[in-house]
Amino acid sequence: MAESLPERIRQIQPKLHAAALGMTLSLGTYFASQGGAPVCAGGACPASAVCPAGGVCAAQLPVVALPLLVDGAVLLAGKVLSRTRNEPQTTLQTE
Amino acid sequence: MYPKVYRTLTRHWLLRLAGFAAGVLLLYAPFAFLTRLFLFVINKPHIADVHSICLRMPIQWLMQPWMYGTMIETPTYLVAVLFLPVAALFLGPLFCGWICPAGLMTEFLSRLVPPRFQLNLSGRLQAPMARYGFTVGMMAVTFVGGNACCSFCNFTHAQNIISAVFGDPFGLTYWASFSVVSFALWFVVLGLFTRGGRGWCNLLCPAGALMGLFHYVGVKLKVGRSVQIEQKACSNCKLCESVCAAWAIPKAKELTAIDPQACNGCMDCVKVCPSQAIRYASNRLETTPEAAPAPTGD
Repeated sequence: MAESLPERIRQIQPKLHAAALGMTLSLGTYFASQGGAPVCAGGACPASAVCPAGGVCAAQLPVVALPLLVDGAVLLAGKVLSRTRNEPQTTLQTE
Repeated sequence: MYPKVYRTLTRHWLLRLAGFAAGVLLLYAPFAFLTRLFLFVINKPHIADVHSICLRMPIQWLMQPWMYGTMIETPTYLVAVLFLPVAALFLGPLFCGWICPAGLMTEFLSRLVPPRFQLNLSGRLQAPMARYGFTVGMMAVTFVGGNACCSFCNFTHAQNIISAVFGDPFGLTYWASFSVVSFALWFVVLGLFTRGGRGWCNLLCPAGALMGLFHYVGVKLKVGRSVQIEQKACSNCKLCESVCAAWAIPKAKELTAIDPQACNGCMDCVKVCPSQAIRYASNRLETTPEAAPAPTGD
């Protein structure tokens, strides 16, 4: 019998969580190792990926949070779907 | 103070220490005999150290395919790119468990630290997936205009230590840089003070991730060899789990099995099993069920 979506999400959640942590560590430590103050000089630095002020481009920092956001979204979706599935069915009783 | 099982493994560990010495002589300056031989054969002048035979850069170049042209100038990269994954496919990641000085250094030094002072991360996180995630993150850095393959390279730290031991102390003069953080993480936190001493290898090594993946493919395709458990002979004593530095044998499971994505082929479990239920054998033999991912600490 095919597994339900909440069950599948529950199975992949630990793997996804571990992968998201690994990705966040990789991206975060890369940015942290760049050094320099993230002083935004403006301009098209996110597109060019070259910061005129040196150091980290602050506009790119949200990339670090992306894996955890995806992980959180999958976790939330799993909880919502399993809660929806477990809610007792209510019926209107009419006399 | 130390597990009694360490005595059982003494001869086996001496063999693995010989592998460590071989790894240093073959790959690391001031020796790097394998690299020197290859450079002599192809008649290319290049620095003979671990950077000449790096696998991390070719992994990142998957996102920068134009960089593979570098291999024309420095063909020594081909040794790592062609040999290590193929060897892992057919023999398992024996490089990790028997030759890699960066991993063996921390593993054996961690055996000197009493276990009560060490973090036990085995089973708390699905290490192979974290390692894949770290590798994907390293490759994804190219999309933000950077290169991360050298940023957190433990091979560099091992090279610096070995160079310093053999007369070049300036190899260690990078303490003012961010590399001191990665050194502390590799050698101290995930090395000496983590059970097994292979925390970095199990969580953050892209080369290990690639070889683990190829080994897993080999097991699935039933080609080559791998470390396997004969379930009929297994008494489920979990002694193998206690010595596994690769966190490849989940503890909280009724069925003892080995995760091929995590296993580094060290074969400590083969030597320590009192029932002789673990073997390094062909994948075409009847295999045991693959280890299910260990439950995380929820």
